[in-house]
Amino acid sequence: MLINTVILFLQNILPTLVVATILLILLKEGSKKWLFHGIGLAVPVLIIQTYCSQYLSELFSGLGLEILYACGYLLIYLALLLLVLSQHQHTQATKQRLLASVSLLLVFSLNSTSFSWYLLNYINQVNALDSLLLGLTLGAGIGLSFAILLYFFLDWARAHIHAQAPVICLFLFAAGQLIQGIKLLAQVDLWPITPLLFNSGELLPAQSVLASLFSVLLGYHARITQLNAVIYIVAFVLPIILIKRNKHEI
Amino acid sequence: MRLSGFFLIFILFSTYASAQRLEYTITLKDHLFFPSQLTVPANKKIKLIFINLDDSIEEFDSFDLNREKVLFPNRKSSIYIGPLPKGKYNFFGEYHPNSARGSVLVIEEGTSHAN
Repeated sequence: MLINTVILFLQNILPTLVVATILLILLKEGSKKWLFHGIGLAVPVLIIQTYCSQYLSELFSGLGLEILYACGYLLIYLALLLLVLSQHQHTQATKQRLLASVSLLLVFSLNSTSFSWYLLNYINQVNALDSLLLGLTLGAGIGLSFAILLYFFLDWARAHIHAQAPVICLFLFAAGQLIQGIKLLAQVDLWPITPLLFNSGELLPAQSVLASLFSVLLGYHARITQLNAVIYIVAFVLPIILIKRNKHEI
Repeated sequence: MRLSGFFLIFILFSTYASAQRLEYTITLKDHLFFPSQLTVPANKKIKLIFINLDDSIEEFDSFDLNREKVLFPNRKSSIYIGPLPKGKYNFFGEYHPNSARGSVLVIEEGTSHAN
């Protein structure tokens, strides 16, 4: 149970830590505290969401959760896209702060529900409490260490590799979130299943630790369909083209 | 308004299309999936219906099928899988991975299989 708690906690918290770390690097000093507002607001949203999920799941003939979550993942992508575009357009800081808070709120509340259900399952069991607390502590330690390493790596990459390195990482992450939403639509038969482009299961088995990490951070799936591959590439390349065009216009 | 109309047509069409799918039921009881091995035809889209008879939440998870679904206590839910090539696709309950385990065996139609 201890290992299961650590794995689940990391799977659920890593997306939030990654997006928060990248935004800490991208945002200007005065806007950073807005990230904490986003997280502060996300906690009550997550609690409400956890308790309402079983009712939400029955909306739209039982497709409720998948449709709502898919819309949420699309909103994450759009909010991050608008945030980065607004930075390059030098528009008002309030808009950037709002978009940063909304993105973080959505990433946290959509990616953390699985763990909150898990907690609810075990929180009343006295014999499970020790493993839960230890698992949470270990998971938090690993997650924070990963976030700190990522922060210094991105800071270094921005200075030594490319000034836009954090933005590129942000859009790899955002495209991954979009693919998570598409996966949910496919799961309830609202998205077409096209032939497989490739199956990387032999090279990087989906149950491996690295594949789990890539799945959380980049939306990695071993079996990639042609349509999903096109969407991922467009979702990643489009913002970079838009940023370049904006720069030329300025 | 136009968008909501489009969305409604989309849902209705998908519900109609879904009605044509082959359906299989998996029951969760005492953190065990019944049947633990499901045999389905290859290259067909399948609807998997889950009935969680336990009093706790479980999360159906399958790396092989690329599917995740929360199974709320004493409720019915469903997902779609496939079309799949023949093979064995494992799944497990994320909250009880040691006991809640199973697999979907995909076979070519007309192939007999002793289950």
